Amino acid sequence: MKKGESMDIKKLVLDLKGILGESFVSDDIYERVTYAKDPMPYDIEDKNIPYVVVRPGSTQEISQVMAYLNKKKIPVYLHGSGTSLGGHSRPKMKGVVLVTNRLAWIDINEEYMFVECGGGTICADLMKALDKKGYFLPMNPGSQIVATMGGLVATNTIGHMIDVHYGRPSHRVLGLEVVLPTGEVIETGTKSLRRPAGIDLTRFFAASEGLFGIITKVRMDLTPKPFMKYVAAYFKEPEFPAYAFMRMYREKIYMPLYGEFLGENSARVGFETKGLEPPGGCVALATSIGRNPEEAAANAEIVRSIFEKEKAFQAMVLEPGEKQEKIWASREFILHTTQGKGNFVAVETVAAIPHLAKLMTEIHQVPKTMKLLKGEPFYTYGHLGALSVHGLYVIPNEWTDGKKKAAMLEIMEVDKRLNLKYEAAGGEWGQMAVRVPFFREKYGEKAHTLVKQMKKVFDPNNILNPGNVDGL
Amino acid sequence: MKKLQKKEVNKMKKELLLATQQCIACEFCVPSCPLYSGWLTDSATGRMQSLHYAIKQGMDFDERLQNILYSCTTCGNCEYKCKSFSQTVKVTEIVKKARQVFMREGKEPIPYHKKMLESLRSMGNPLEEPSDKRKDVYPSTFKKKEHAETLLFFGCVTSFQDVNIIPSTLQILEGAGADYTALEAEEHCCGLIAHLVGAEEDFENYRDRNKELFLKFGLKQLVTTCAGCYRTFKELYPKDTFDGVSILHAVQYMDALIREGRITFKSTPARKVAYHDPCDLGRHSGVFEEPRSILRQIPGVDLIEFETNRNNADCCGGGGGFKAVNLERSLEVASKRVGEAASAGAEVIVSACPSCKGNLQVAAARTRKEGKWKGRVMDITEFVARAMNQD
Repeated sequence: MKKGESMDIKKLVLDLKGILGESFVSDDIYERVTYAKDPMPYDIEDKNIPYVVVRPGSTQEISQVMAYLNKKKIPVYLHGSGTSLGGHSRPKMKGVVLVTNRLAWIDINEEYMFVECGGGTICADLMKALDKKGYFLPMNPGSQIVATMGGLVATNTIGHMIDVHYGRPSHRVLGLEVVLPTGEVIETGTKSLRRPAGIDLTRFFAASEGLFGIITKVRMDLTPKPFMKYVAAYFKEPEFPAYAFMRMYREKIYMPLYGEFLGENSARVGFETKGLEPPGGCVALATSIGRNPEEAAANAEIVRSIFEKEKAFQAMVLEPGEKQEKIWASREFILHTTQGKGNFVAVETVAAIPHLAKLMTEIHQVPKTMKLLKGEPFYTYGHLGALSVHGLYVIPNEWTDGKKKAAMLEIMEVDKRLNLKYEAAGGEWGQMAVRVPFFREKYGEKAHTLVKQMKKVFDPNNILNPGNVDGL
Repeated sequence: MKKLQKKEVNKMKKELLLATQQCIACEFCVPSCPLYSGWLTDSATGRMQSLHYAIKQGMDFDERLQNILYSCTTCGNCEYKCKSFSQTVKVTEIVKKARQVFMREGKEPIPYHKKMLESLRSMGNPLEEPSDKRKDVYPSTFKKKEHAETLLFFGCVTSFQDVNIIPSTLQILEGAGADYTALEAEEHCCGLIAHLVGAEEDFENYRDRNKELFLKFGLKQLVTTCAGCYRTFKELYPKDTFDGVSILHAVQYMDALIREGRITFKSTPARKVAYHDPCDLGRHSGVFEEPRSILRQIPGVDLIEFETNRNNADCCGGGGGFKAVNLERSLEVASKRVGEAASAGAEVIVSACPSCKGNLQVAAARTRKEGKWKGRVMDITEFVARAMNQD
């Protein structure tokens, strides 16, 4: 649609109903408002509210819808489950929200040793299906109970896992089916476990943050479930666990699959929520893996001893049972810190190995330097084994949207500064939308322009998630 | 609307605006909503965001918003997920308060709710039944006492829509030698349905009537077989309503009687038993282990857990006044639950709530008709009574 041209919304809705049927097209104001809202801490504005929300049920239907919208040059925003903490799923301009949740199916093929699923399949459902057959999904996002596979692959995230073992979706995905913004459908990759050398379009989409196409089918290799053994350690200072994980890399140990961290405040909330005595310091949790229980236990003991060497006042290999479950689950309750008083916003800071301890020191000092958020609740947690730590702020509900937005920008400035300083680039939530200023500063204007040009190749009319490449 | 009432409604709306602000639309709650259809307005996220938007924009609380907010079983599963993984949004409180706004603004209630409220006001129950009919299911041997240690309260669904729970409960208590009595025709609604649909004045009226009625028995404990009534007396009535009186659900009372050796079992009416956690008793009141403990005490019972159980248990679809909003959808939810029990190999689904039993029973009948399951649904009092007597 050209600038200044008015939209015939009635016709748009009718045409889309013609493609998808009455039941899967909604122009109800409450539906549109809900699909417009994302976890950004401030309310939506009129420009964010789509004309219509559609829920196509197949690749063919998505193809038809996209061909139609491309012809009309109407913006379309993808909605897997809208969990992005990076502002990806909030529409930046009027258009259509396309929901992928009807593309939810799983097909485990043990002959070929791969699993295929629809782009709208919920991560936890896939995890459960794989687990029943002795496999596991090499990704573990905090949003797994609702996040879709299409969204996770497009973000190229593995959530809390340490990268060295299984890599990222861009390493694990064998092939994809993708609907291009023009409506054309392409298949990428292979059905063999031997991935293509050289150019493989899979990698363009399996990290595209929804800029280049709509992932309608994902094919990943089957990963046998490893044996796991859990370790917990308590420390007086937050730098100590950082030194422990740095040491693990340097001592060339078989790294744990997870290396989690809870700052003292977060640990207190998490432990109390699970009915445990607060540890009296910060907490590191690790999951060692092995091909058999003995190997996992031996690896866990190595991790435990490193925690001890780096000044843990308590370090233990946990035996299966209630205590293990409660300690590990305390990590899930981090958002309890908001106590119903506000919306959380977290920074996602990562360091190169040599800087991890320094990052830990600095992130704990950051609140004192904040203009708007000084004195507001602040918590730390993260995935130290993956060299990643989050600072979590609680933005009070009572603040105006303007103040909330300003606070959000202040937080993103911290995110940018720390990632630049410690030679990293985040690792869980993507590089576009809210992080565009970081991307531009880190990689330069040329790199940013290249991304825009790449988008134009796939999306000549810039109808798919427009604005996300420009920032909020 | 009167000026004072308008002021009060505005205050409620302001509070709701702030409370809904807590929902960040992370959607972590969405799959747990028993009514989720694939559209977000059929989930807690949609309910919170719709309400927030309507208040912020000063929109009229119209029929569409009414439908969104009354299409909720208030099962609290979303709230548990939110508490566990996200922002601690008090979804059920918000939904109920929003419903009060509809009522206070004088909006026409959902047709069936209107009938229920009229019946509540004129007949003492929401089911349009004469009070005397409560006596019908009592055995002829029952003699009402003027004073007793234990007062039984069965609730409207049990009294008018079930023929087994009352005789089974009386039989268990007789067998245990308990000093008890029941209200028979004198019983009236606990008021929960009024609270759920937003008619707070009616709810308060029933609370006061019940307080006066119960205390004249000089009771030490009030025992109810209904999960909804239990939660109402225990949590929704002010804490000092029944000073010095213990409020128990029948599962807690029976569990204690078993431990005291006053209830003993002969054999089980069925081997593979799945226990369905009623939302009001489980997630909302934290009573999970007593019913399981009872069933495990019965020789021969192989207790099966639903895939979702305790705090994560799926709803039967009948709560929150939703059955009156959309019966067919309510039964679809119940059918899903029955299907889960069938897949787990259960012969019997046991619950501890007459509303859950009723809804699951209808769904089970459908499932049986389709040849997908041969089992049945029982209340735990029936199961226990049978196990006490069956050779």
